[in-house]
Amino acid sequence: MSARVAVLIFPGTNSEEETLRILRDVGAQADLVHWSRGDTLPQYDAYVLPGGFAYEDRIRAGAIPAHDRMMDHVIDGASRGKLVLGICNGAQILLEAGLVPGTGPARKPTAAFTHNVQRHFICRHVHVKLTIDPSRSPFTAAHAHDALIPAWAAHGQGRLAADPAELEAIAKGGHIAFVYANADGSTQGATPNGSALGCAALLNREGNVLAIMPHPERDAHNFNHPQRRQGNILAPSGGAAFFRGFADALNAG
Amino acid sequence: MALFCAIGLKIPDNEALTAAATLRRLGVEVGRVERSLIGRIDSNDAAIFNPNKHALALLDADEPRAGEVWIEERDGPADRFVGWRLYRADGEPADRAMLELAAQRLLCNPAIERARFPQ
Repeated sequence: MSARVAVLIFPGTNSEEETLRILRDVGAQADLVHWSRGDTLPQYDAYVLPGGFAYEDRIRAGAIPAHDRMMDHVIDGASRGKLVLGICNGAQILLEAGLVPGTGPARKPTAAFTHNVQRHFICRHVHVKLTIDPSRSPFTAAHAHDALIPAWAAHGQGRLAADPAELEAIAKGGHIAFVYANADGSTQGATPNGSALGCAALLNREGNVLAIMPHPERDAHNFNHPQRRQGNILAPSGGAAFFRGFADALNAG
Repeated sequence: MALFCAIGLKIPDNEALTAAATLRRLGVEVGRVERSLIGRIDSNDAAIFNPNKHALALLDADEPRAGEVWIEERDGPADRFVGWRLYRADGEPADRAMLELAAQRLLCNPAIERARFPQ
């Protein structure tokens, strides 16, 4: 029996449909789980927190949903080794919940994806490059070293920030899974938002919780690209590779 | 001349209501929460607030009022805070212990923010 993935919907989540679509396209058995059905979450084997504005980013992005009852199940599942993926606002929720980088106790954030250096929303196509050994995490095990994944950065608060000691711990602990990169794989000038260490995605020590700020699901099909007018616009594009690795890890058990 | 002021909502403040509900869920037994934007203004500020929905209070000092904690971004604009004023169930302003608990459990992310308490 295939592993089942829950795509969580908090009040204000808005990216659940495209996230669900790409997960199913790559062979994952995925369902949307509305906040009113959070009690079904323990039945699932993995969790995805999609992008959006959960609870309107009240107080801080991710602060209120981190204490939502659905997160009780996500935190418990993560402690048992279930895979947990957060994208954009989902990534912010995972940081507020202390699940990544995971250098402190649960629900005690030690870092944040906060205001971009420009102090405004950005929307641009980016690439993220794998910076860890692929075997470090089931999320990345199917990728090549230095794998390059296309995605869309669409956020006003995507900059990794923490105190210097914590940033050093994050870097030395191998918690930065992906950094921003140019299309040729170079990293010079690639970070669009001032994120510390060029960080685009954080991983916990155990490797089962990944928080990525840009949206690979928004580069999952050719129709996401204004330049790709030839061929099958419904065909998977570069961002699908990110989810293919996730689905492979789930189905491998 | 620069003054410190607090600008809050006259209309229901959904963010404060959410903060209150979440704090209670986290074991901070608040009765009511008020939220203000705190900052310095000077005579050159052309538009400060909308009197149809905002209330403005001029502050006597540049520090939190009784029952209030100010949250500032570590790398944000100088002299700009979010003020959270907490009241106990009996209507009295929250004491320092309750403010610290509220800041620790929800209102302040120490990775990116600092909390300032009343003296």
